[in-house]
Amino acid sequence: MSELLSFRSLYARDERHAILAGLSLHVNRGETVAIVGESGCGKTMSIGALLSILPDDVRITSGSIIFDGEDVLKYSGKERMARLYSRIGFVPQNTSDSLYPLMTVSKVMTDAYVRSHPDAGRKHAAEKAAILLSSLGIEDAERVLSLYPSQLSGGMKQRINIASALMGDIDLLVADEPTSALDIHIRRQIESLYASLSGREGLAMLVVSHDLGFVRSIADRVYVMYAGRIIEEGLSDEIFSDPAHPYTKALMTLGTMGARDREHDLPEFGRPSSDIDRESPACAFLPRCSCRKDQCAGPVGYACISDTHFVRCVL
Amino acid sequence: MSVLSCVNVTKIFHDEDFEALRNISMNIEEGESVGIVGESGCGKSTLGSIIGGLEEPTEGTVLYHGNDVSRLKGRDFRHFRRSVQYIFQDPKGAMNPFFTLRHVLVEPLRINFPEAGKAELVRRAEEMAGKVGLPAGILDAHPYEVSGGEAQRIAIARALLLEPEVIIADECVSALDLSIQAEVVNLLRHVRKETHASFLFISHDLDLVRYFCDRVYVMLHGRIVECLDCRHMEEDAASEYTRMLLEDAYGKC
Repeated sequence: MSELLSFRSLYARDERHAILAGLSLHVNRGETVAIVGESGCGKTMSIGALLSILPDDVRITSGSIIFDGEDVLKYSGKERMARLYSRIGFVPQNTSDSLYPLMTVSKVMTDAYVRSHPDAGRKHAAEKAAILLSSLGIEDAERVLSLYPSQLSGGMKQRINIASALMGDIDLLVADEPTSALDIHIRRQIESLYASLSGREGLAMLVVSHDLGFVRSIADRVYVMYAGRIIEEGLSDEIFSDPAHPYTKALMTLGTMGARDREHDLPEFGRPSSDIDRESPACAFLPRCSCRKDQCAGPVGYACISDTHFVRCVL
Repeated sequence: MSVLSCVNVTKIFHDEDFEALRNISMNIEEGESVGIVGESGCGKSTLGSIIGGLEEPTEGTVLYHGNDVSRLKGRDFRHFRRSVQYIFQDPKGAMNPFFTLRHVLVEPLRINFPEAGKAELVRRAEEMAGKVGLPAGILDAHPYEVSGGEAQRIAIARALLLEPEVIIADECVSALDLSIQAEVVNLLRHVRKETHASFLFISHDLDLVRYFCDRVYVMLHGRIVECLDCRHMEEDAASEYTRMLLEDAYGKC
């Protein structure tokens, strides 16, 4: 499998804090990869670094992002967007706000197509939009195309965002928390939509989520992110069946539905501290860890559990 | 007797010609924790607002200790308002951004306990902040300067300060990370034990409702589908819709 995207030791910071501290991960062609972790760990920032949509005060200080063999960070924001637009589709976290309120679904989708296929006519684009919506399981595609965002349900907005992203012939679909704002029933529908996409020929996906059930159902590989870097990576089965890092284990306990026992409090393991030094070579999870050792305060490297399973922990 | 109940409540939003609630009757007993589950748009938040007196029903009656809420006046109405407190999904949206968190806590105290001195109210606010697990220093901050979990603790402290009989929690943890959710839910469990307050716990998370509540009302399209005991939901669930929710929650994981 050849590599489509890789982050290589990426560092980013705002005026006061380090945000990404040596982030390294990669996505192979056609592969579905998930990043999991709590709010503030840098999940969304890593996507922002790729797509050049970081907040104004955040700067990338070192490292590289290689897409299809080329370091995209050498291009300025605008040029990078222009280059990546036709290759990478993006479904943002808040899909309600990402559709322009005065544009019909048809306009949104045909615009997306025409921008990446400047020679194509609008009529052809509209036909393609209808076919695409049908292929995503939307029955009355013609009617949906004529609607405005305010007339769409949350689940439908999510579908339209995915469909718009797919209008260009993209190699990579990036989705930020695609299921978090949805009802459980709609969530299952969107999950199966993503599951069907993950089997699409030639389409890789990078999904950021804290919904572990969803991640488990779609991802080939999983990265666990904490305080700006990856602390565990592995095949989906390895991460879910045999988590190695105490943080990953704790996440798994919290995320297990049906494990809540009415007679007892929910398990707690503290919260991420905002004043840790993310760039320190020590383990950033140390203050919350229940099985810490003396070595954890020194430089911590990656231990290899299998050819595909790595963990940044002294174990 | 029920602390809060409603009888045959219907709510129509005339602007949109939309019937949000249809003929709903439900009750909350003293010390009981009652859940409402259902998807977005099923009317669970509207029901929460009506039973707590934030909105009026189009038809039907809301009863507080058996008294029609729409007939409560003056001191009785203020007592009702104080006794039923809300915790919302977005705590920062429910706080004045220009207030410090200390001010956020003291303001409702000042209104409801006008006879107490300011120093006394500040002392109560700081003591309550400690009880919900916040450091005293945080009260100098403004809502936008603290995390979502901290803001939700402030919202809980603000509700508790008024010594309510019923706390209506509307999706109060769904915007928080799992580890913070666990802390806030544990805090609410301790509140239940210590204050014997009743809860109306509104959530789309069936598993969480089942964990936290004694009874749950399942809602669909503005109606109550059924009411179940949380201890044996699977055995008792009669409606197809509830079965589907249970399957969605537990079937796949």
